[in-house]
Amino acid sequence: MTSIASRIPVRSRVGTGILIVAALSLGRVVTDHMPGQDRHERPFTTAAKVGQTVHLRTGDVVVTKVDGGKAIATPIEADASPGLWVAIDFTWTPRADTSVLGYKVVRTTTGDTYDSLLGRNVSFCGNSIPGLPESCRMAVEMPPDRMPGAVVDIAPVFDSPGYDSLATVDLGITDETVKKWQARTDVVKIPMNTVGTGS
Amino acid sequence: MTAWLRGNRWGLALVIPALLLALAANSLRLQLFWWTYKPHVATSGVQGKPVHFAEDFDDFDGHWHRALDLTVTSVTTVAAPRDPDGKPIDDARTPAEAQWVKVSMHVAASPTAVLFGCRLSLLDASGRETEYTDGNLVDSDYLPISPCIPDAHQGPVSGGPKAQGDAVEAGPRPAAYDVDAYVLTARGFRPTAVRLQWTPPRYVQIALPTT
Repeated sequence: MTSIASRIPVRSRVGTGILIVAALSLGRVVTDHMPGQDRHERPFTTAAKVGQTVHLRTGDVVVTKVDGGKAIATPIEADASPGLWVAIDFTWTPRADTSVLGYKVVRTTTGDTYDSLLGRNVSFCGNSIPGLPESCRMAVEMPPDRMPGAVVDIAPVFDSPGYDSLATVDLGITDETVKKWQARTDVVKIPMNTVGTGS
Repeated sequence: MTAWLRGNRWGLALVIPALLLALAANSLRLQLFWWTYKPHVATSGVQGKPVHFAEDFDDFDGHWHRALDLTVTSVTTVAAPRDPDGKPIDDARTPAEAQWVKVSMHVAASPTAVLFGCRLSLLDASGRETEYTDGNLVDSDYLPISPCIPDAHQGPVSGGPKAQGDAVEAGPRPAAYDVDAYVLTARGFRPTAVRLQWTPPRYVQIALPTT
């Protein structure tokens, strides 16, 4: 019995083998150099300071004030932290669609994150209306020694800000700020959100 | 070379359909990612004329069908919203940059149809979309969660037997009713269409007369 392989010349068989190995190697090289998930899902980040307006894809956000202390009081409850609370005021004006600034995460210089939606952290932001500025205050508690240099990442989504624009605002916290907040005896108030500029 | 091409003609001819098949097989990822989460399939109508809207949907109880006839009777700018009983809401702290738009609708649907959880929004000529929410400015107790059903008789929240039974117990929704929705928008927002949706990608869009 003559097999098909034995009818093909040896030179041709070797050539085919080399081509297959080359194609597989090339595929491997391309796959290895494809950007990973963390890279192609990464957000389009705009860095800013307190008071600077960031133009996100779907609206404008500005952090207007940063405050802190050992205790906070919302219209609903009051909480004292064994660490410190950082309270962040911001204003969000959607451009085209009704949206919520759902993603508000404080990130330290070492990469630890403190999400405004988790733990005892608070945030009173509603559904913001296109063209109508909405102001709200969030508060997260964190260890005082991790506060200096921290930033807040803000995006109008709820889960991950991947694929979309993200504001990274430097909170301007220094060692002195932390000492001042630790020495405070009054309570940091967290009001409900306000719609409009109050004019 | 020609001999090689001829020898391999069937293999070569199959390369093109194989490539097309590979592309088509990957397209399901595209659909999963974008298509079903956004409104794409429109049922269109104009103000003052009833529009029949129907769709299938799934919930925790099973697979159901929803059908209704919707008429947007009027869309006007008003000073303040009213609660479902028709009383003006006094503590609506409407800022200078905002206005209230009242959307009046007439709905005809089986009392067993699940109309709870609808989303209502207004669109303007530039494509801005302002959605109805119950929690802006006024205490959310005053405005209903679902803007397209009568607050007192909301009907079932699901097609399942328990939800249907609960709805009958609470007093069934009338087979036809009028309902007003109050939408807070930026001042100067001129709606050109009303959009109503339950389960994307289907939605119903009513064009408003240009004034």
